[in-house]
Amino acid sequence: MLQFLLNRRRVILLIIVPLFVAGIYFLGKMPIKMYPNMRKSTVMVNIPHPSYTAEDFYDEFRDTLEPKLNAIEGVESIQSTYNSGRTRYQIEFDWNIDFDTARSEVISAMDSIKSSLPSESDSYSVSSWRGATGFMSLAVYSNEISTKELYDIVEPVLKVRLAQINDAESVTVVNIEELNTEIILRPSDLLTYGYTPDDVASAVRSGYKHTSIGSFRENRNVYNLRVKTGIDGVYEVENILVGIKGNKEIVLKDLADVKIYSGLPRNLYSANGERSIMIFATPKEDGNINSMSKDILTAIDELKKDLPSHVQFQPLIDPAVFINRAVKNVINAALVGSLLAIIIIIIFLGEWKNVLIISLSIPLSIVYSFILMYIFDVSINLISLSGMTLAVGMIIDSSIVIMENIHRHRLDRHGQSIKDIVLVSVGEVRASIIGSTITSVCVFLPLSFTAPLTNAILGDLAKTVIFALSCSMGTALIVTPVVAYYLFRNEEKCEVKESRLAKMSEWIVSRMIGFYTKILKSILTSRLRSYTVLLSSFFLLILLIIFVAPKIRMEIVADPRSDRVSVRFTNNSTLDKEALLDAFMPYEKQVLAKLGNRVESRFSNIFNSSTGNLLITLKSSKLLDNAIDDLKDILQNNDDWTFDIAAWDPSKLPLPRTYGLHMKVNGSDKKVILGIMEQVMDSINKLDLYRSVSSVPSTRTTEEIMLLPRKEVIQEFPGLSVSKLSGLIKILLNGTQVISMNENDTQITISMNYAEGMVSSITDILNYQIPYKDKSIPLKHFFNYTINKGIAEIRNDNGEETFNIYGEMRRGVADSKKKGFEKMIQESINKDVKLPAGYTITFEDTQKIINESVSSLITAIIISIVLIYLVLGLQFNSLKIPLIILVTIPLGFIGVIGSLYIFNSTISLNSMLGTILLGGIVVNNAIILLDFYISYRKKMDDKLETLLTVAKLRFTPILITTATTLLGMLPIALAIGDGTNIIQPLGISVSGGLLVSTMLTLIIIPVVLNLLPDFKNSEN
Amino acid sequence: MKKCMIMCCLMVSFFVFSQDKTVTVRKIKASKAYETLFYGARLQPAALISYSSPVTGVVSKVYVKEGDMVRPGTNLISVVRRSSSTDFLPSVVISQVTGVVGKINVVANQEVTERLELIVIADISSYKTDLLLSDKDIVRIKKGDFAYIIGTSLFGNITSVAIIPEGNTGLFRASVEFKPDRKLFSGAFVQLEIRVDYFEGVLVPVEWVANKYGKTIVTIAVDNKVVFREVKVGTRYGKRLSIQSGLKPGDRVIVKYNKAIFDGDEVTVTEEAENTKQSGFNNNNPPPGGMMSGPGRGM
Repeated sequence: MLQFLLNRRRVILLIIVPLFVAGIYFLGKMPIKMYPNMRKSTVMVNIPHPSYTAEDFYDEFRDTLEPKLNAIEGVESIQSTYNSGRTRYQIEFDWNIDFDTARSEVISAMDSIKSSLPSESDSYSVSSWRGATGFMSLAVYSNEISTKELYDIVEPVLKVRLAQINDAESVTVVNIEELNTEIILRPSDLLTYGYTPDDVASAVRSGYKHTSIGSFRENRNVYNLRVKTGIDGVYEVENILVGIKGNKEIVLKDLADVKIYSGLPRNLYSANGERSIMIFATPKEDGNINSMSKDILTAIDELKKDLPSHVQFQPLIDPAVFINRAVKNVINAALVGSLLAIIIIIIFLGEWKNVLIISLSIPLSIVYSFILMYIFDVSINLISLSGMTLAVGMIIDSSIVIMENIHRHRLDRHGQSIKDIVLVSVGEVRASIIGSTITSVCVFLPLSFTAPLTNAILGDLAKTVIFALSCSMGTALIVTPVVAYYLFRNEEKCEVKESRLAKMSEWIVSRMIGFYTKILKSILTSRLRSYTVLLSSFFLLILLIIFVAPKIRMEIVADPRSDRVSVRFTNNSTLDKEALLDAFMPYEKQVLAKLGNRVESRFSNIFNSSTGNLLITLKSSKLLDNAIDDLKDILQNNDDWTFDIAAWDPSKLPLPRTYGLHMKVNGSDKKVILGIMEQVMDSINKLDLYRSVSSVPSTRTTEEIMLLPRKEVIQEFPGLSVSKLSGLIKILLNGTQVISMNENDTQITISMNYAEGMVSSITDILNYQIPYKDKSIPLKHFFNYTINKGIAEIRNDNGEETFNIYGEMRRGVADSKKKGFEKMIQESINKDVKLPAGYTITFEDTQKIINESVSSLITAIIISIVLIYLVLGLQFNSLKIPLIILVTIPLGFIGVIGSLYIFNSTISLNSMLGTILLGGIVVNNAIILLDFYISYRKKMDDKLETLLTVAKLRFTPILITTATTLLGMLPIALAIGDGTNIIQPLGISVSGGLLVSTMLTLIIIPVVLNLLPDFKNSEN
Repeated sequence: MKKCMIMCCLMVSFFVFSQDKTVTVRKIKASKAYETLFYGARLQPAALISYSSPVTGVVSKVYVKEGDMVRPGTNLISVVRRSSSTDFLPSVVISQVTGVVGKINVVANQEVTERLELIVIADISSYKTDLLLSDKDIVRIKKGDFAYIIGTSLFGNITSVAIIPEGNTGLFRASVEFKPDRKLFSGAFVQLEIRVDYFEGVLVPVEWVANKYGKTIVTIAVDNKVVFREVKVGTRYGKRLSIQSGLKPGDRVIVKYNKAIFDGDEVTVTEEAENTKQSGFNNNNPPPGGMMSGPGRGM
């Protein structure tokens, strides 16, 4: 076939080039994101129920709600948390349900049970579990006009244009300068004039707007008539008439202080010191955050021309920046890797023409693989780019083998025509190239059948490597010979020129070959030495597995290194956004005090009454680890607060959370269990083993105060009723919103409440004075009350009530210590905690998820080994030979475990994948050796001589291919730049494994072949 | 062997950790507290004395204006009897009491008939007011109790307490009398604090009482050890809780600690510096509002 190609070479060239162009074209069309499409969707349902306690709501509605939600198709697990006043369901779907389907299913399920919920729960919400930081924000400011004017100018222009951005789900322009008016009641003045808060509220409502009377027509004009009963704007609120006493008009300012301020006055962004309006954009689930960011910035640039020059834009959060930087780093790693590989080739193969041809294969293979990526719907993301980077060193292997062979033949037989040389050289190595590529590809096939977690996260990497390798094989077999023919055909007449570089590389190579042959000969000639070498390598392997492997830390996947920290905080008891912001302030101050000048800027975002996010940008990503440690020390989970601190990730991986400790308490009575949990937590805290210990549900108890109205008394008071008194109490506790409306596109909110700190105990409420005639009577006259201790929170996992204690390990503590800690805890508990009969405490397996992934990956490794065996068996038409080749794989493990341990890396999905990849790579060297051995054995008689000759012959290409692969992966193993550290374990495991295994292969395969009896068969 | 080592480690770490712990304690003293009941009402003058016209005629002169102080003998208003035949001398209405002119119903040259109310003098030798007490509080209030005006140092006496409630409202009328003072005036709305149920015994701030393992406890130091003492709490007085059993004066309560402490821990104890704010009556939270207030004179 190669003959055919060489004869049609011009046409081949015509095909090669357009394919290249096509590849580039498809590259431009592929979306760029941070991570591949994760398909595990989580939907949250938030149900408010202010007048139900946790227990009441649980008892009454759990049986209606949970089974219905469970019945939704594709639901994998439901986690429900019942609090006083609020209940939340977190519904996790299977891997193959996409976000929109999941959400709509939940919405329709909730619609069908809506009628059985209490009316106060009508405002329930269904939302998606979106990473807290998957959005883009820009500030718009001007130092010449006020923000209100700014908003009026900018908003209409921006709104229309930004609505056209494709990848954005929503783009909103937020005027954070909306005016809020707060009416702070003065109780003594109210009593003096005999007014209650609802008198004030209704006066404000009716006194705010002018009264419209009607309209009449005159000829063609229509006249609208209004009577000025209202005020002219919020600033006049304090003059609203409340009533008349005697002959004095009582206006609002006689009864209350009116405070007018801008909404969200505590917006923390202050990079430019100016108040600004904000543009928020959230990307679609499948959208391309990069192109969304680019589109928005382009749109703004266009619009700038239509706006006055003093209006300025400042991007605050642009996830595209981070993605681009990470992507660039990965590309850099690829380029560095290629460069290093090329240097190796120069050293070993001397001639620049060789270097050129081999180097050509890198861009060709990569670009061709873009076509395959596009067809198979793989996007450009960190994972697939990492695969590309990994593949760089492997892509050139095939070309190297071919070129090295051509080079060798050219040096030896330069009488032949170049065409014949090419044909013979390629023919010699073709089978082994195809075989090794197929084995490398085969190792990734089982991946699709293993744990979905691995496939989802690293599937793109596997695919990219497969595409790149396949294209490289095609390039090596088709393009390289053709190009080589073209480049060298003018040499037919004259001798091969030896440049100085070539001379030098030859010298180096011959020294190395000499050294190697000497060692090999000395081992092969002595049986004792052979056996020693063989057995000691296996012994080393076993040692490493037993003693070193457990010491290596395990994790699922490392987080990308970034310079931002995201702190997501949840509070169980705050009732509205402002309260949450207030409650978080002291923590924020602590954070700032601790981090000091490591902080470049910060930005906080409150989503709802219970959850918010603080994003801290540090001065450099090197400060990240320490900053996270410091934060985790300050912000500890407690009864009210839960903190989730992690490096900021623009598109969060839905990784399951792993704990250092997980215990469960089982029993029948909730209250007893909570008491036990408290004792256990104290006992654990005494040991000071963990960074933090928390419990879900929290062990906090609440006191429920039940006010029982004295109806027989209340009815004797005209003008008072249970609902009126309840309303007064509500205003006393929380205030109320008097007016909320849209006027001329501005949002007006007027709220009314008492001053802070009015109520700090039940007696304050019972002593609240109610005006009666011209006296005042305490509220206690109208109510009796009881106080009950209740449970603050109930937590269900998949319908079962669970009581969990979690502990987080300190940084740097190895996972192997976990068992030891658990033992210590057990003994401590036995001493401190008295367990009543019927109650048990169990330790849960925290490693379960990792263990599952690891074990399924091990299954994949085994399957891939079997596949390799089959392929090799087919290639060599033998059952024994593949076994010899497979010997190299365990040898690779030596390098893997050793390098992971020495470089303090982790056993993770990455490194396991690296091991799988390694399996495919290491056998290549053995295949090359064996292939040549078999064909030469037929011609030569002495086994030892054959072995030495073959070893000498194949030493150079093996060395070159190993060195290029190794150096290609070096940038990844070193994790240069942000973003590359995700697959660092992979790089380390493959590099280390390859290095050791190659060295051992070069020795051990000949040893094994020497020790085994000859093959009678074998024919390729 | 391994277990032995772990136990040793536990012991050592226990020991090591407990050596590090220091606490600050405060000695409990017996103190007093009372419950406060809050009511509000408007002040009235001790009496309102009205003077009527002695004759039918015309008002010749009004000597005083509203707000003026008058004493027995002060001329108030003179009325001249109308007669076609005789010229009468004006009859002068003179004040019999000390007080303040409250209301003048007539102007000069106005025609009046006999017995028409001309002027009202407010006797402000003392102020009084009526409170409507809830049936819940009535058993604790008796004649002679003091009612303190919130936000001032002024107080009044409860002069009478009704035995029968008004209608079905369940409210009992009680009268309170106040001595005159510059800060008081007729019509002022006062919020009163009536102190009842005096208590003497062990009182601790609410924050010191904790709920652990389902029991109510206070953390104290006995010799050099931490003890979680179970207590029985009584009524809450403002920000303090009375302890019915479990603590006695002299017990040392732990108010500050440097590391988390648990029952049985060994600690180094330092006593807190004496703080004179501790003893004495507590300040219950006055009801929302506080100060006495009014719309101003003349209302």
